[in-house]
Amino acid sequence: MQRTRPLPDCHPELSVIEWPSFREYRVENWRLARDGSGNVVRGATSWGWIDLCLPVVISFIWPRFRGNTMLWAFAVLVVGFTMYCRCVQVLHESVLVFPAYGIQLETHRGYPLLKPLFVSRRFIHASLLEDFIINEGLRRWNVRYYLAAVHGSSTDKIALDVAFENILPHFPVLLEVYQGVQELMFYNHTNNRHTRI
Amino acid sequence: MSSIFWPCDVARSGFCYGWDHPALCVAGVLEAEEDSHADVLLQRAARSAEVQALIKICGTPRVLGRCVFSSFARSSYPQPDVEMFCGPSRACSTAYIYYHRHDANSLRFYALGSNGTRLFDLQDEVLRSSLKHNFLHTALSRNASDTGQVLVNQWNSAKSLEQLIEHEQRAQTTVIQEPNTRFKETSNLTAINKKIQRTIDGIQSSTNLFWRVASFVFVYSREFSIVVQQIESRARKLRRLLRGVQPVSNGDVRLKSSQYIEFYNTLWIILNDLIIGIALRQFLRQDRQAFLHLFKFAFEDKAVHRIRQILLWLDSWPAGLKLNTELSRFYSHSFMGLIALWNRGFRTVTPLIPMSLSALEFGSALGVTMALAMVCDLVCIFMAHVQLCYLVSVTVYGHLLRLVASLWNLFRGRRHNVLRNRTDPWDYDVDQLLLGTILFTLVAYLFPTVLVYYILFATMRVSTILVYASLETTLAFMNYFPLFALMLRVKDPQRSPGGIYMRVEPTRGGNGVDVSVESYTLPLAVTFNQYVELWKRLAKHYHPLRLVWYVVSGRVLDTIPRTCVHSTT
Repeated sequence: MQRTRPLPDCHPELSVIEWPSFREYRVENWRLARDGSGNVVRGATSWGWIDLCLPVVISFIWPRFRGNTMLWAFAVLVVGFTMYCRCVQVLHESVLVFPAYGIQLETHRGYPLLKPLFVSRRFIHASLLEDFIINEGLRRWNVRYYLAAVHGSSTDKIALDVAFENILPHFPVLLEVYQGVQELMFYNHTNNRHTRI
Repeated sequence: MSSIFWPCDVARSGFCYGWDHPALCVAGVLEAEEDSHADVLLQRAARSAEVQALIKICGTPRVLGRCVFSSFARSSYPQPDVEMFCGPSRACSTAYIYYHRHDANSLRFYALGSNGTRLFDLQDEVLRSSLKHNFLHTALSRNASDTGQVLVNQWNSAKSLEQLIEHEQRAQTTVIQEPNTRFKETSNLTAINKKIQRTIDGIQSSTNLFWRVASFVFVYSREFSIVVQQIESRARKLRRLLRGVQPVSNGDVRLKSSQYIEFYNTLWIILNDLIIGIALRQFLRQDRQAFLHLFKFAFEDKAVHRIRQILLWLDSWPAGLKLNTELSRFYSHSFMGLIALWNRGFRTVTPLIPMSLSALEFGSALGVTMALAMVCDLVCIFMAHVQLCYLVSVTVYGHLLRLVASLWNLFRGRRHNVLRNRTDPWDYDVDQLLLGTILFTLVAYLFPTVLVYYILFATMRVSTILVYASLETTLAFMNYFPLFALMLRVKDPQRSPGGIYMRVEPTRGGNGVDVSVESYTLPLAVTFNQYVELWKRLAKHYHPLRLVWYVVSGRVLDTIPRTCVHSTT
């Protein structure tokens, strides 16, 4: 197991982990501030100032709750909802590359200080994977780049699956992942040219 | 960095065998002295018919290497020391991806599956070709698309291969008992099925007058009566049940599993139907008098007397509108005559109502779908007078509307060109224009009257159609609900797989990871696929806007044709 950060200056959230059977490109849900100061901007926070306001508000409204079950249920719902929101934050997303077998796109969610609680995975077999591309998306006046896996399904329909769907990192990260996947999945060493598996 | 697929439950030392194409996949371990012995065993096993069927979908198994297990196991997955005979020689330790070997009888399997599209379907041809075309990559042939399916087949058949080899090893001459007995009872059912098929063919091809008349009546009434359709579809389902108990050659677990699920789904639906129907029957029997009373008086009051009152009201300047007196009187009298005729018929049939209620009870004992079908038909029959009046008024209204359209063309100096299907400018003669003017005054004076009566019957027809549509929708949903598939999802998700994923877990030792292949369940959208299809068809036919457009343009409203609903089976 070997962990490297290929872009330590601008994008240290990308790390490449080499396992015996696959390679993982992991992007964590934080980034450096874009003004060059070196501050860390977190995407998934463990607590915020609003979490302190909540007990204060409840302590003010509590005397009125005594008789009213509806309000009490509503308050429980609100507290439950905030806890749920805190526990399904995206911790990190990764692209696992199994050479000759396929790629898997993963999203790990959970509470920021603990191990991930929910993992959603999507495996695309190499025979179904047509291509792994960087697409340009136009949103209002901006151009945003995203990584997409083009794959066919058994019904001969082509579909796109976006990698790093929630974090959507910037272009240098995408380029690094793109080059790695292309090299592992589509590069045939004996012929020394790019082919499909 | 290539890895070996190793089964989770194998932890013996010996010679490992499996497939080496498209990937190194170990199916099991043979305990033998030398690899030549293991080879011979494999060759012997490969001669049997079942293994031949397996080889067709997976490829030929070979002896891959030798494995040795260390005495202590530090992780939950086996960690053998393997020395492979084929493939590139590796000095470093090999990486394993673990998979579960499912027993063929357990009906669990892996499926590569159409995972469902997450973003969107790129149906557009141009877009598709632009995505497929890539200037850097050279296009290979499409053979590569099979490798995923072959690998999944190998995982699915690993356990049965091991069982067949062990069976061969023990060299038993007696055939396994179990399929034999099942074969016997299935042969009985297939015999019954064949006999039914022969009788049906005989009836269809016979020249006997009675059978010809009967089949003609059957085919003809199928278009009108929901009960007949329901009987036919239920009979078809029962026949499919009889057919579905056939054994399937081993090898294709997916086919076997889908046949199993379909068979039990049909069985469950029918049984559920019967249970709810019997409960409904009890309910009807207990409140019999109330139903009779409700039906007789409420119906006669609403469907007959109210219409008479409304017709009388329309005849005498409704809401201050001055309608054409003669036409209005003619209309209202003729409609009231029609309704009185129907009422007389209804009065003679009144003593038969308790019998029809008993028929309904009997029908609900056959299933709640039969009861619903009977209610549908009863609604049709008892609203027959409204249907008749509606047909008359819609014909008149439609003709008037088309006349107005044609006169509009006349006054603009245009004519409809049938050859080119468009309106062309045209010079009319003076007498044609005069005739048009006369007709126009006629229509202008008569149209409001016709319109008012048409609105009345059109609204009644629309409400009847909506009631009928909701009954038919409920009926269709009860007939095709995927109950068994849903329960299977809850009980054993591995039996309805929707796709595979690789699960990466850290080992107990802490350093490495274990990778295992798991399957996730079929998404709900795929399970309810047929339902969604059916709903789309029903919604398209009974769409409110479509109904409104038909009412306004004077077209006849009808119920959904039979082929639309029943062809989804």
